[in-house]
Amino acid sequence: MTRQVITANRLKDGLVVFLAEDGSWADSILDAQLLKAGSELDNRLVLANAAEQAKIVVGPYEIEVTETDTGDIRPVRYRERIRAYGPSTHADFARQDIPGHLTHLDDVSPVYFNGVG
Amino acid sequence: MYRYDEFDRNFVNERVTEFRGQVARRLSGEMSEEEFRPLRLMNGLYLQLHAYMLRVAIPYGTFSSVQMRKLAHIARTYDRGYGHFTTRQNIQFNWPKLDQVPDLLAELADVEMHAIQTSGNCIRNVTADPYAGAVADEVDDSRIWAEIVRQWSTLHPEFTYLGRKFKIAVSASDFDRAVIRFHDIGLILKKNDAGETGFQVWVGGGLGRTPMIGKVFNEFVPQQDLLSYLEAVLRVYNMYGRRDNKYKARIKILVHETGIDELKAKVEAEWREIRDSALKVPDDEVARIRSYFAPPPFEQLDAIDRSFETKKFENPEFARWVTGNVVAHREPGYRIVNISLKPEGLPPGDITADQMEDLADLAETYSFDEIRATHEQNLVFAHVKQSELFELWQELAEIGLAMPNIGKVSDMIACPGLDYCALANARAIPLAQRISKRYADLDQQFDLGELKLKISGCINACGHHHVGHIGLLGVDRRGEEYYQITLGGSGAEDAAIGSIIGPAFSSETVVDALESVISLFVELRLDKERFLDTYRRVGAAPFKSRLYPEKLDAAA
Amino acid sequence: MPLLKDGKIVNDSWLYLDDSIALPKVGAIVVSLARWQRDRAALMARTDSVGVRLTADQSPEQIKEDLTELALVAIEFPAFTNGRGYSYARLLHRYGFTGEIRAVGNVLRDQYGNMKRCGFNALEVKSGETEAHWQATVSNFSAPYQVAADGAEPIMSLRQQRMAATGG
Ligand code: HEM
Ligand code: SF4
Repeated sequence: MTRQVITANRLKDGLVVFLAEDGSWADSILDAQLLKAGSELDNRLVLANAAEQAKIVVGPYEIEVTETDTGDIRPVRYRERIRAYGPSTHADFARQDIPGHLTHLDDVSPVYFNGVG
Repeated sequence: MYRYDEFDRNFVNERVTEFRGQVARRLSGEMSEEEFRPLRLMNGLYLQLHAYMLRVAIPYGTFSSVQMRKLAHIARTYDRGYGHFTTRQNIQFNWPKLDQVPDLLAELADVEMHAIQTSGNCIRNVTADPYAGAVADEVDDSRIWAEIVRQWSTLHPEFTYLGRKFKIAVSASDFDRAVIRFHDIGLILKKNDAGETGFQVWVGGGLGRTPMIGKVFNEFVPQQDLLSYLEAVLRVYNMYGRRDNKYKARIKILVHETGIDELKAKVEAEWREIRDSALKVPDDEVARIRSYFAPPPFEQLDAIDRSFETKKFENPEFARWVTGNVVAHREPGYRIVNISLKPEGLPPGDITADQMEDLADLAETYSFDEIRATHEQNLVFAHVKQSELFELWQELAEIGLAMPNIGKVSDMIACPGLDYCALANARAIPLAQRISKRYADLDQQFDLGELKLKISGCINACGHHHVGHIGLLGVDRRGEEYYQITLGGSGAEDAAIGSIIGPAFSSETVVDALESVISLFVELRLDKERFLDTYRRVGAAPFKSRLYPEKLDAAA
Repeated sequence: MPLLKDGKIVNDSWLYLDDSIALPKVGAIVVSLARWQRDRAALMARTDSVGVRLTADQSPEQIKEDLTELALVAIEFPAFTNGRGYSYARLLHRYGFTGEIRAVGNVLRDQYGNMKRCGFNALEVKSGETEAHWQATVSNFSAPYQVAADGAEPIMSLRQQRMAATGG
């Protein structure tokens, strides 16, 4: 079943954040609050818009997610997966702690610039 | 190279101060995102998928070792250790923090760089032939004129809120190395019969969702009248260009909808009014700027260098790199060296801070301290002694930048695509990586010859797919990444817009489809024909039937 | 809306007259282009001043011949991102118009400098904007690169003067 989470970019550094249950903005989608479309979502969007007014985030919006077998939150759209996990091409800057990255075909692998991996 | 005088320096510093104020007002909440957006864009700052992205201008693609070192420093201090060279002689940083951008810009200003007008609906960073000042086939050094245009267009009070972006490129040769015909205005320096210098002016080229080749609006605008002519075109565009639909707002649509003759007449009428005004570029000013682009102190060298010939003979890899990446220079004993930013399997156009610093050192040693950026996301050392090519090649190889693939199938243009871009439909970089691995065999690449492959992650065409000999365009099919293939485009002097060959391919099948196209070309080519020439000779039909055999069955 | 004229917040003495309202006998009024074209004779017969308000798709070319009759031209900015008005102001300036060129509609503080340079001498601004804001914005740059309508010496001629002065 799909659920929604609310995401935005943080004003100060532009990084991707997700609205958590306690009203704070988490930098991992795993800490996002799962919402049902309808009034539950709408109420939280009000809060998110207030956070925009309060200069915390820019452009909040909701995305569709599913819960995986292991209980992780995973966006439905590719775009949102890349946004939540980091670029699929530059492994240094991706959230390696979160499973479910977009895969690469053939034997292409993401690049490590900082000598990791 | 152009150096700022105190006027330029003050100006850029004042712009940093102005932007610092704007950022402060945004952070304090005094300004909304809606108000801030056009202001930040005008200074090259986007908000992308993961973070802010800053696009820094390298006006007409020429920069120095000192500037390259500063870019490395910025990549390390304000970003994540790398940068991405684009198709318009800019470099992008993908992770700057808004509150640090003013300091970043102040550091850039220290080395006479800026991010002014690298985005937004204004006159963008002016681009030029990356071989300017080094090739024999040019009428004049296009950078002189690009610098004049840069100054005139910088914070032009009238043309800062245009209907859409406006891109100008300058070249000085019959060979188009600057995609002149796909710019809002393309300028080609020419000499007339009287031996005077002027510009052939192309108007209304562009890519995006409605690709168009520019039209010649004026065969010869005398050099001193360049700015009045540009101002006339811009004024007519600003007043009459559409504002109701952002996809129809570029000047190419105005040209198309108004008709060339009528629009040309409007421009000429406006030009007559302002031609004899203070917009005439004074000779002393041209001379002052020209002096900065005086040739470096070349040595008198023999055209043929024995040791170079020997090295090529002894070392086939070196010889291959010379054949692939090195082109003739107008001075005997010198060569132009292309440095490919497309190593096998890596993201096109990316460069690490370490590589930037190494290249800065190499440019100092081997190329009079000067570097060029090309529209194909590569770099150029414009003035290298033939006798030093071997050492340079060895040093480039050590830092992974001696890939001999210029103009070959793996020398792809690819936009950031879905990995970074908020507007994308599909990823572009991983596809480029796959293709580069599929064609890793350099013998095969050399056998295929010149083949321009260009990939965009959406119809905005930042990856120039319309003008690729083969273009790949990312599309979204029910949430999956698909790629449409176009064939027969060219961004060079033989400009053409590629045609879509048929339905899009899934990411699983697209590389095989590409391989089918290329292997059919190998079957069909005559002698040493390029892909583009074969395609133009045989047309799309054979490629269609190879790619979509089931359609043939259905028709039979 | 507050009005910034020549850098000062002033009271607006002009009345914007709706097309449907009869011409008042006295007082300075601003009418639409359509009204001007329709009631031209009556408007010119008035002793008090008349101005015309142009929308973003009405070029001042249409009133070029009438400018000696007008004391004000107001140019609308439907959105601050619609920059047509900058060119309109420059045209008016080139036509030799010496009256007030006023920007109305959506004007941002960060645009004052450009507007001034293009020949605007009055702007309708958001409430809260001050003379200090104006001053700060228009003096952001000590010298511009271009010639425009404000008479500021562009960098190119400053360089020429310097070269002449130093004899080199
Ligand atoms: C990642 C952020 C980027 C965004 C949001 C972006 C956005 C756009 C958009 C919206 C257009 C279409 C404009 C129009 O048709 O009016 C466009 C065109 C273009 N962009 Fe980008 N772009 C980005 C990055 C790049 C990069 C990395 C390059 C170079 C590799 C690039 C080069 C170009 C070029 C050459 C065009 C075509 C210009 C034309 O239509 O004539 N852009 N871009
Ligand atoms: S072509 Fe599309 S996906 Fe690629 S950078 Fe441009 S806007 Fe983004």
